[in-house]
Amino acid sequence: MITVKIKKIKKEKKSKSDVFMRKKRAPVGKKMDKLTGIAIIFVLVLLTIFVFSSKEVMSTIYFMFGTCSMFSAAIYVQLHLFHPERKAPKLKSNEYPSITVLVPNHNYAHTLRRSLNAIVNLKYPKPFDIIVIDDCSTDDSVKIIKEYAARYPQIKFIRNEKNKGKAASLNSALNMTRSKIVACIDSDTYPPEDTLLKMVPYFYKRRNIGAVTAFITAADPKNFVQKVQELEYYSAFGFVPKMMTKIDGLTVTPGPLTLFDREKLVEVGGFDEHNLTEDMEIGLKLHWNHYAIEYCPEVTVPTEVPNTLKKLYRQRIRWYRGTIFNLRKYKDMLFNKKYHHIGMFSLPTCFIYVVFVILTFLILFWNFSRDLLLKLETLAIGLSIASLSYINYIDSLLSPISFNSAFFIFFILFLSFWVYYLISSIKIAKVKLNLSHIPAVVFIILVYPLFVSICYIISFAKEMLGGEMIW
Amino acid sequence: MVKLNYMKTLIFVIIVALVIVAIIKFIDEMKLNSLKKEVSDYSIESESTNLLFLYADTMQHVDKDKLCKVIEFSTKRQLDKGYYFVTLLKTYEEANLLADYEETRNRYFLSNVALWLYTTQSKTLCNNSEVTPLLFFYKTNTACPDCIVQGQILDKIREKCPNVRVITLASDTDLSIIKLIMSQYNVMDAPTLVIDNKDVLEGVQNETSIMKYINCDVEKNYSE
Repeated sequence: MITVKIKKIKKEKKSKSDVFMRKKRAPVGKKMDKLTGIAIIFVLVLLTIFVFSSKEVMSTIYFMFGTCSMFSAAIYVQLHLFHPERKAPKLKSNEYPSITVLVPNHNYAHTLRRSLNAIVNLKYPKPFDIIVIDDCSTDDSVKIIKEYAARYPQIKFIRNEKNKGKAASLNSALNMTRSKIVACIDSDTYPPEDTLLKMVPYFYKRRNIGAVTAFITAADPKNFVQKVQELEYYSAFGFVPKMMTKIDGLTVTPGPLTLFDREKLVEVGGFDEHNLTEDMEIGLKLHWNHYAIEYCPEVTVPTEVPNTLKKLYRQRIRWYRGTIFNLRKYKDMLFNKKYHHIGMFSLPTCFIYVVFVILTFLILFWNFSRDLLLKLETLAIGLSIASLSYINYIDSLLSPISFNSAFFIFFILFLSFWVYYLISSIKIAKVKLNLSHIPAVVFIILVYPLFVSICYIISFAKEMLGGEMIW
Repeated sequence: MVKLNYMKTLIFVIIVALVIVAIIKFIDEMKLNSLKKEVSDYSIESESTNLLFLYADTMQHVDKDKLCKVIEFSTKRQLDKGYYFVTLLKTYEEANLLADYEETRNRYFLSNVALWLYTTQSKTLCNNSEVTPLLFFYKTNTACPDCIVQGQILDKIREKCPNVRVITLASDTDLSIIKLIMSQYNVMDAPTLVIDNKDVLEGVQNETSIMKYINCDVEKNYSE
């Protein structure tokens, strides 16, 4: 009898804490234990060597991931063709809720003016406050913000004495406002005038909406690195999220611009201050607490993108480390029926896509480098053995790499999906690509994924070995 | 929320994937068949040479000059045909996934062994001392830049001296006849050259060092 009672009590306690967990808390993300990390890397390296040792194993694995990518494409196409999207309701001007714009800034003096101009010019039926949080900038930012605060009374200015990070800055600003909606806009983002007008109605599309995101694009790309990113942003932030939002599977609330329901944001505990990608973390945390994220394709929001390869590399390492960290942190959501499509489809797809891209381009790189190495070796031996005419060698150096047909077909398949996503996204963004984009298109198809793969691998190693998290 | 049938989608995708596998198999088989046809033409040529020798043995009064000319012509033609198979076979096999190349490859090497034997035999039969059979052992299964270079050097020699008959054999096959030849000449590694059935040269050799062992007959035209 006694044992039964104890069991009952235990059960009750468990169910209580379960509710508490679900409603308020998020799982605690831990740094990887170094020993476990090394073990995982060791196993993966062994696995890679095994995969690459034989053409048959390589192709089988490749075939499996190819099927997975076809599966996600089939889901997208289904959603695109058979599930029309529901329009957001139209709001009368007095129905628009109160809103506050939060602008975190850290050493963005060069973009701050343009960004603040855009934010001040945002149209909204009600007057709204703008809170600019300067996170201990060392450039002219403070001067510019003060200048704007003097000119526009709605701008409020907070300054952190110490560098606290973006998440902490936003959290401190969250405590200063009581409005229904907060819009987090980066100081290198230039939202168009109608952003708020178009995005806010999405909060009334259905119940339990925690955040509304928009179509993020690259702001006036000038050099090649930026042009490649422009295409990447088109292909990643347009069609796929539009389809994902139909099954409530959006995982990221892009940092440059997202609107949050303030109460829900506070309820889930605000932004995680110890996270490399707090924008992905908050998205997953909202889902963890069963709040939805909506996507508004009508607004394209240009944001500044890194203009050099080095800056891009640093940004990507941060993104990908954050992704890996957050996938680990919210691993309980993976294949969890409680989280519907996000657990069963969206998160697994995100994971599989990453593995697929890495695998594809490692194979490509492997074939290419092996071929090139053989050719260079041949050339070296040829030159040392006999001073033959070079024509033979140059001929063989230029000859294309031999692919097996399986690889080729899956590559083409994957590419066609990507092109389909890109074209659909471009239609959503209502822009036109021209001839000047051709080099960037070729680059993003053939070379850029290799860069992404390398970044992912480095990020993975860093995350596994528990390297310092530097923003 | 939208309801999706993951199971149905998965089944559909698996069917598509299987169709793709079928297409891959089809492409691979198509490539193999085109090569198979050429190799079979090649081995027919060596069978016809075989019959020529049998003919010479069976019939008593054969015009030797005429016979030698025919044999000469036949082996030369076979050589020219088969020379490019080595690289072709290798590139095709590298790109292949589902077709079986074992048979075609073995057939090609067996024809090459026959060719080598006929060349040697015709040399004694026709008293043709200028003809120099040159066996070239290379690797098929592993990358071998030395072999590629050696092949290109031999290519030059072949063009320069029509009396040199370059015959390629793989050093890493399971064919017993090739293993026997290898043990006879003590061939351990590739590339290795066996010149005129007596001189064995291991490792990559340049043009001048090969030329020391052969009498290059530039003048004589064999393809009459």
